[in-house]
Amino acid sequence: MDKKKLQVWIYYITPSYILGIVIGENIKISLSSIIIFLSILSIIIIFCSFYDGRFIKYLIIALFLIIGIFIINLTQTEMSQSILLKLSEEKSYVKVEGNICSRPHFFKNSVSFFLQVKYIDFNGKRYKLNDRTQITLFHNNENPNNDLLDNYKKLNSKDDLKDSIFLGNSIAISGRLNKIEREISKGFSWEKYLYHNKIQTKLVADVSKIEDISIHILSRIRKYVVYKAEKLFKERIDSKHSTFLIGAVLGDRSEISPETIEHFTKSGLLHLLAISGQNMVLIASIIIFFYRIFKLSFFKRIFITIIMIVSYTYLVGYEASVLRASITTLLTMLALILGRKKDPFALLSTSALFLTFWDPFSIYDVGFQLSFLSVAGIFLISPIIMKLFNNKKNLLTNTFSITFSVQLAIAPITLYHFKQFSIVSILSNFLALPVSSLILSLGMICVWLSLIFEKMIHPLLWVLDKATGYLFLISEFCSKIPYGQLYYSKFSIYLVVVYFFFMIISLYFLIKTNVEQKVKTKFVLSLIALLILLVFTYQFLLSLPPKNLSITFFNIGNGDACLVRTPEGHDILIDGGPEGKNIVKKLHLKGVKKLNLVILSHPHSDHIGGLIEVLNEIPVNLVLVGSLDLSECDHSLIDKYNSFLEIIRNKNINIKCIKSKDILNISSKLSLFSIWPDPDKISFLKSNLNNQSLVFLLRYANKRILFTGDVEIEAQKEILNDFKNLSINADILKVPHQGSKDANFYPFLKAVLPKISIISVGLHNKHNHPSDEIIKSLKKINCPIFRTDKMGDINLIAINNNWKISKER
Amino acid sequence: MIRILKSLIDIFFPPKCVICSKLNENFLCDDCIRNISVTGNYVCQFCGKPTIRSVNKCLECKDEKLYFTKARSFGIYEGVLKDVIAEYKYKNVRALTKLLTQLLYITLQKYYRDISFDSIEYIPMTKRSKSFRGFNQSELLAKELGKITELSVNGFLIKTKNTKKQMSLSLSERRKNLIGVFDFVGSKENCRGDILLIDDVYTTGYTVSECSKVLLNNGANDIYVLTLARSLLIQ
Repeated sequence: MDKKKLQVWIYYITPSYILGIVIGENIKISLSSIIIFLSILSIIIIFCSFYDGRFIKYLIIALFLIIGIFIINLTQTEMSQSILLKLSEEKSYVKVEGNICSRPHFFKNSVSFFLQVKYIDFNGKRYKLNDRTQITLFHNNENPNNDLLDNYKKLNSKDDLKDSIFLGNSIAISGRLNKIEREISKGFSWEKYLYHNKIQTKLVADVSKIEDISIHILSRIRKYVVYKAEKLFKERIDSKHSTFLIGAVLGDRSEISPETIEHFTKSGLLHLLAISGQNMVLIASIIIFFYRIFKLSFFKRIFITIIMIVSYTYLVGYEASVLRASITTLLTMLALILGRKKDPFALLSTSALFLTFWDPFSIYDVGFQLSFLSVAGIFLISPIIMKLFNNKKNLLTNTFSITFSVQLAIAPITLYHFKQFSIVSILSNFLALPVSSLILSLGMICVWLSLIFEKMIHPLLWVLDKATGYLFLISEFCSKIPYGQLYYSKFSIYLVVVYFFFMIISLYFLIKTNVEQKVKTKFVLSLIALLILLVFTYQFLLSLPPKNLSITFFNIGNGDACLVRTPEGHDILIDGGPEGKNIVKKLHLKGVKKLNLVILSHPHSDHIGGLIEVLNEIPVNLVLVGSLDLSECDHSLIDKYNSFLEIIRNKNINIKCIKSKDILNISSKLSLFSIWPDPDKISFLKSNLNNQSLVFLLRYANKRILFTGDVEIEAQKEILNDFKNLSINADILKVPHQGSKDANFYPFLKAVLPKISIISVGLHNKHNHPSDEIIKSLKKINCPIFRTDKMGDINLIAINNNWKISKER
Repeated sequence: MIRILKSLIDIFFPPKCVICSKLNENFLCDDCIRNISVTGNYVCQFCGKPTIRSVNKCLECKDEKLYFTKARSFGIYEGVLKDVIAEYKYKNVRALTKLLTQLLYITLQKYYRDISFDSIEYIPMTKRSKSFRGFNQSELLAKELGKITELSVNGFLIKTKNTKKQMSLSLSERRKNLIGVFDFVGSKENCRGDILLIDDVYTTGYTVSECSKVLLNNGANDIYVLTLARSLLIQ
């Protein structure tokens, strides 16, 4: 018998299959491409097998590469032939029926979820199909006599939507199908995310269009379990802590406050909010703990573990990271049944293969990527870190090596997806790992016990509350450590590849070669030193002021936000856009550490919202506002403005009110010339807050930039009257009021005569900004228009007498 | 069919050495086998303990009343062999059975070549511990060895009481701990001649001795003990 060379086939199968998927998504299958591809492939196979004589190995690699390409193309073809897609192109009115297959998101006036469509009624005919669509239902919960909910209540005899719209439910809705346009762009986009979830269409309707709701027994059980645990958590535990626990243990993150998410993101503990492998490992250890007490037999043990894992996976909904973890655990059980030793890396590859075979698009899922990388990091890197400690195993070194290697493995992917990486995560995870295990296992025990003996777990809940409190302390403390975050806006996919390439080479050197351990230790230490040096150099370089005057108009949806940076190191922010658009992160990505001047044009929420976040996070020297007459504004706006002033007072920030024709010298080169509002004239414009916007000219050397806030035609007329003799001519004009037609006043535009005009506006906004009229007027004065909705963040750099314009996504 | 199934399993659970993770069909690579300290030529002629020169009875067994005729082990219960047995017994790597039986067979050839056995017997476990572990390692080894040597494996012994772990007791307690816990359930006609008794680890010899006693009382002539490892912890 010839000596068979053993191989770990799965190490070749999974990577080549995934590579096939990636290649397959980017090439179109045609006869010529198949022939070219196959011939290249066969040449490579022949060459490689000639080189080391292992023909089968390369054949297997090639085979799975082709299978990957084939599968992804099959999926894409299937999706392109989707009936829903065809109907959506004609915006047909249909009735869809199916199961809710994502956790619904409840907003103030709407609820949104994915529907696995089983039947569709169209033109009186009923078709059976298997497809997905996104559903958005509008309701008006705040209005007690709203007729939208009437029909729903009749159907359901329940008042709250949350009682019947949940994961796993089946529902029938009629409405108009719309196609979701997919941008072909690099980087993350919502549309791409939907496409990778096999969603190409959306159906928007109101709640009264729900025709049928029926609840399956299984999802009813799930709802019951979740509801019972939620109730118990909410009763016994601090509300902030209980929302966290519901997220961490039951996978429902919808009620966690944005503040908590922010703290956990910054401290690098966000993964605790998601169900992950940690939960599954803990389930297994809880069962081991119980079987030691009850002396369960081997097969009962395995049986119970499998039941627990499967039911838990069902309970929390099947996200990629959960599926990864449960498949791995199930495979471990299989290894026990077969009497094989499990190989962690083979397990990981096998579960990746199963997952991608089930849904090839799951490789684009961030949870999938992070989950696999972190586990691979633990298996591959942490033994190397342990060697640095001379393999002394204790809680301290173990925790450190695990957290460090996980962070090392996921850093590039985190930077690629979120442009932000928490350096303190190494510290925070180190502090949090022991307590998080306690919280998760106690939490899961409580969920199960709550079904049987409710009263008995009260002491457990007390412990849980205290432990969660400690975790919150850690995350809050770590999120406030200065320089704890690494921001990098241009982390491209190529950098990710380069990073992993170097990592694989270093790992190969450290694991496979027989170099002395001393040399290896030196190598690892110098690598770590290099990495730290790189990070700090980058942080330092980023904080340096730009060489030339740089102005950035941020794409923050419908609203304004503009950053001006001078070579002298002055950073100025004009408005902050609406709330929750990550203006703070965008500033960090620009390397802004402090702001010399913050200017609020007027207190509408699309200008002030983000500024409140900025004031809370970034040190500010001076805030500039115009004089305002708020006598005719509604209370929520005044409240917001007051809270804005409150923060300024509490933080001891200087505030200044300027009126027209004031001049503020910021540095020798930089000055601000105020144009509007004139306090004597605003009283008759008080009915429209937009007309009280601060208008000013920013002058840097010979450059002039005009910021106009939201001023409309009336105020523009007044300005022209005032400035008959004074020039308001500017190089750059921020077009007033997102280019609304109410702000289109040709004489004003002509007086300014800008070389460049910027429209800061959100994509698909409901006001239809910018208006065609203003675009026509700007074209009349031959002024090029740059729009944030089309370009993303617009960056202008003054070089000599020209402006260099670039876009950043 | 079984071969296809096996190669399918090999894809997902690659056969690797349990000690050093190198690929190996037998789940223990040749390098690691070489690291096992095998019992040499000089052993106690009675209990099989490795000695400096050949003796008929060593210090350890000369004052003991042990019922078997001879005992021999493959290697010393330390290092690699200890780890392998731990993997096998506690981590449930039953795939090691084949290789470990091979090791037993080598020992059988080495020490008991002249003896023609009538049957093979193994140390039993109580029902409860067997179901807890899922298998009886001595039984698996004995059955596999039965296939190689074409001898019948009897399994006439049962363990009736759950005893404390031998490791946790002092020397004097160990003997008492085992008195009367083994029982005979088979037919006496088949229990005759020379019997090969299989166990995984030999420490004091009390366990195999008790089993030998039961077998002798039920008609066996001579009991030869064969174990994988010989513990040297007790001097």
